[in-house]
Amino acid sequence: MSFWLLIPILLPIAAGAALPAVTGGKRGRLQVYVAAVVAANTVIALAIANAGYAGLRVLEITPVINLFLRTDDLARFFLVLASLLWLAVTFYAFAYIEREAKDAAFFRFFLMSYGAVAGAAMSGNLFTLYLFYELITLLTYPLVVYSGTPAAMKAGVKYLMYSFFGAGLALVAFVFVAHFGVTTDFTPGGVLDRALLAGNEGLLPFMFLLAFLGLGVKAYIWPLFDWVPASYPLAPAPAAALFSGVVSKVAVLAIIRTTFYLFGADFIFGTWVQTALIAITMFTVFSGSMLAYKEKLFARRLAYSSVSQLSYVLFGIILLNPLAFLGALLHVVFHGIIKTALFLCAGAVSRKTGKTYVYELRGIGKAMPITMWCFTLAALALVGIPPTGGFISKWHLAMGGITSNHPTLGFVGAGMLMVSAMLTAGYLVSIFAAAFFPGHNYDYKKLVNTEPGKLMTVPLIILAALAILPGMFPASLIEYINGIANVIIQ
Amino acid sequence: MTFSGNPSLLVLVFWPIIGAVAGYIVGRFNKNYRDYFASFVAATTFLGIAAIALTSWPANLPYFEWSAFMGFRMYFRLDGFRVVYGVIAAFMWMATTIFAREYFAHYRNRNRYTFFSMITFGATLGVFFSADLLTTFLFFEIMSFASYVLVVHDEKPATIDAARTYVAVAVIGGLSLLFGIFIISHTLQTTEIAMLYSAIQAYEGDPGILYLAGAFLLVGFGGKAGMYPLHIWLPNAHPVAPAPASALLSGILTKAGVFGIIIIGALIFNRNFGWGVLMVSIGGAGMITGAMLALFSTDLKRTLAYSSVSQIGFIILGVGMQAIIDPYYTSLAVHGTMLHMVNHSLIKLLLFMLAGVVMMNTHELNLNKIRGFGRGKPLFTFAFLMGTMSIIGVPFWSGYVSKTLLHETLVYHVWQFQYYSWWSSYFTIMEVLFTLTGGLTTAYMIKIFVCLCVEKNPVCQAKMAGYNKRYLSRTSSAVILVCALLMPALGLIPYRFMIPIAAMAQDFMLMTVPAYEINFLAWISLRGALASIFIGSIIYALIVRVCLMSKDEHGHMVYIYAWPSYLDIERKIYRPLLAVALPFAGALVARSVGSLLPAAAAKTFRGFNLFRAFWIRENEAAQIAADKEQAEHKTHAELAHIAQAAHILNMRFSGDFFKVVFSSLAYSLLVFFIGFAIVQIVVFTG
Repeated sequence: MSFWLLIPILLPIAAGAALPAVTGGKRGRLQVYVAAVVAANTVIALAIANAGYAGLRVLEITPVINLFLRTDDLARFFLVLASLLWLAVTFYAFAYIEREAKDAAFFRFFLMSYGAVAGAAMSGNLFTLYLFYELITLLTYPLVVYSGTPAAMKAGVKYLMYSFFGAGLALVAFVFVAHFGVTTDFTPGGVLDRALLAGNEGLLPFMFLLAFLGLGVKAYIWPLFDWVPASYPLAPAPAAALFSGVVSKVAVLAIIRTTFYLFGADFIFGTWVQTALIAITMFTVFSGSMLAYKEKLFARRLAYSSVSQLSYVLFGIILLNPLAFLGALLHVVFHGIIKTALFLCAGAVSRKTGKTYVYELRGIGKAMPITMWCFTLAALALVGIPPTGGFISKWHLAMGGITSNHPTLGFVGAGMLMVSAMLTAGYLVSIFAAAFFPGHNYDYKKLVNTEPGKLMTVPLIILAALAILPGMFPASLIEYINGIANVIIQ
Repeated sequence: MTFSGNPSLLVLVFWPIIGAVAGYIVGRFNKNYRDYFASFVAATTFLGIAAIALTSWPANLPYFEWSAFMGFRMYFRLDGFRVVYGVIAAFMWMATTIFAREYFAHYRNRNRYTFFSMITFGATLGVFFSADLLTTFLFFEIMSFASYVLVVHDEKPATIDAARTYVAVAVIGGLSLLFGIFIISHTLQTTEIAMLYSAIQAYEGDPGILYLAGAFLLVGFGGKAGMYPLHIWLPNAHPVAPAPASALLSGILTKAGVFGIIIIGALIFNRNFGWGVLMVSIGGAGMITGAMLALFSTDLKRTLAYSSVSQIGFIILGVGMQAIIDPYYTSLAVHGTMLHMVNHSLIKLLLFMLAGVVMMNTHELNLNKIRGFGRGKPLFTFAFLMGTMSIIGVPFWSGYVSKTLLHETLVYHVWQFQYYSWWSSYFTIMEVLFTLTGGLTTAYMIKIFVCLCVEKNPVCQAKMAGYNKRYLSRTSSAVILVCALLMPALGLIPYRFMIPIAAMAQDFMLMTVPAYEINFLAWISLRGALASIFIGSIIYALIVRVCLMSKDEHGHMVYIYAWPSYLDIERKIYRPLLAVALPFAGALVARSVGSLLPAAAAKTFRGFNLFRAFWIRENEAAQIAADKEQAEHKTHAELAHIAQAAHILNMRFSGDFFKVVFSSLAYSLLVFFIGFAIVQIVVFTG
């Protein structure tokens, strides 16, 4: 029994619960405490990932209802991504939350969410996944409503409503799986039993649609992304960054688990639900980019951008072929890094200058060169300019689309990725172009350097570098993901 | 990560990029050293390419492969074409960096310019050395974005507007190119440039998809090349960009696009008649339109920009003729295309630097304001005359050689197709257009030459004369003189200098037959050039002097801009379509379909306040006002109640926290049980 698998879950949750008692409201002590916990937890998570496969089953109430943690390839993949991003955001958050009085509240839930995310990443069966998935919703809710304004409160409620509604939809499908599956432990290739299923095959695509859309709420799928533009601009930047960078990826993980480990690609392949979901994800890709292009509020533009980018990933998953799956998981990594960086940049700008609208950002690159350079590099990566990471993932997604079992739809999908990339360039290039080229009459004498401190810039620089360097040398990453894909897609 | 081949190719491409970073650091301390350093980097690159080419020519030209880069590979290969263009690129950067030192003397942000100029240099070399479409694309995109900074340099409103057009063409073109590469990679299973031809021969699928790929690639490369009708960025970007940048944009960056068009034409659609006709038609339309617009323009650099559109039309026509022409005469098209590329690079380098000389002295480009600038400046006049002679194609100047070769391809076609009346008349029309464009070229070049170097400025000739003898530093004079002397030097003995250069490129364009030699001094060759010059003189006398000039209020004859504004395809078609109509339609669809669920929920659950959360949309202004007041929102009682959970942030698990948890869980369970019930009913009754 590998009880140490519980550490990355329980440590942050316990540490978060004990946070006010330990730190006693002193900021210095709080920062050391949080940094120590997050760093320790990240090290443990990396050690667990490094140790290879392990499994732990506790609280076995029934064969379905029990807590099962295990670290297969996919779990380790998400665990590493989540813990690295969490670590980067933590230091940034110290600088960002600095001026607020309620920092203990923020960091308490910040830590506890970390535990829940680690739990979701390592979950080995349906019940565990669902448990941590709901836990993430609850523990991240305070991060959304953190500013305490009525607008934030309402956005928080909207977030809760959509999340629980989605989880409710997914739960229906999970009951279906529990009923017709031989087990609810995640099994490559799926758990559904054809003999048990006989007579109810017609129900399967419908149930899969419920699961996909339900879990897709947190991955911003149409028509359930309406909470995203409402809540992200009101959440503090580190929280928005983690939502877009990590929490949405947990939803992706849940969808991958559902698609390939519960329903099984064979059952979905070629059914109407695959066609429908390809169309829906394609539309979401377009819709998110289009709305981002039209949006003037910086953080909301990035939120809409996430809507679009997450559907790249979902598009790659639902194509059900190894090439697209490779693209999807690469995009999970790169979008996680890139969007975290972008949200952190937007946060740094609004924190240091109070500017939240994109048309206020003229000349900001002169005042905050490091921040805006990081923004520029991350933005180019998101557009998919080679040799950045965004290019590699987009290439595999589009090739996956063209070679899929739906050649026409896949072809249109690949075209949609291009249209979306064009719009992405439209809404991001305009920002950094105005930031660095303020116009010949820009008054350089009035220029005040508002560059944030090292707590903010160092994570930004690291994230910007990570958006580019793995794009140049992705061989081991591709090999790892292909290892996963070979097991689950035949 | 493994390397194979000769790493000096990698070094050559990355040396300017490393030089950019090093130069930037140097520039923080000393601006002079930075400028010398930039010239040094360009010069060493020039020598490096020359050294590699000379030591390995022709048998063992190097390649370099960095496998697993980007998950694919970075693949460079040298051949004759690439050597020529590498050398020309390095020469152009050498000339412009030396000239830029004087040109930018009073500019801001010079460090930024030098940095991105060097990055563009490295990326351009990367494009020309690339032997795999993905490597081409990689450097093509870096080149596009880095050169954006060069265009936008002075940051005036017109510049920023022009740069927006530039980046829009770059982005749309880049993605179109990428999509083309997707299709090529999927259908042909290779992206290696040298393998494309054999892959096409072995391809047995639907040819339609290849034409689709070709169209996407053409848009991508054509946008950068300034191919009509995607040329819109040239006339905008050139007048506003700094002169050294204009020279590079027009002289070499467009050629990176042409490089791609040659790949499509010569390797993918080798000897494909339909593709050839398409290219000839596009080229023909471009050359005549560009020349007309150049004739009407009253801005020096805009004239030169339209002239580039026109000249690139000639080049694309040459690419098209490669596919059409009788194999026996292939060398005419291949050599003509290559030489016109080389000539255009060198001519535009010279002419844009001269425009830069005008600009840095007078700060004007309008023909009426800069009239008479060249009077009393022998070097300027001489250099401008050399450029003019060459671009017109006067015998014994370099432009004559390439234009004659291209003209011959058309002439042979009129003859070859004489029994097929339709094609014969097509090529006859093209031949007439060609000659007419030559005439227009003559006319617009005479127009600007006369304006600058012959006429007196009716208003301020004294001011123009005041620049005499101090308008150009010695170093810059030397650079301009060298560039000017190249024109007659190359053209004087075609078979000594120009044809060997063209012959270096013929392998790249898959020319397999021996070259067909023509006599450049024969009447049949001279006739075309002389006809063009004759037509041009008439056009100048009858149209420019009569229709494009009129008296202003002081009684001076001035140049007027008579091009009708409704023929501006950028302002009338592209911008309204791409910046207004399409985004509007797209946003309309996205918004209306996107709000379907919230709207449906609002309809269904009207009155259930708890569900309001599904469709709440904040009015922006009201939201900000509300934030300021920090007011309790009384209208949504239930929501406000949950909103009390704000107090959990003060970190005590109050009763309200549990209310939130319970109401959420209860809600989740409610949904669950409804679903569960449905499943049970369907499963057990159905």
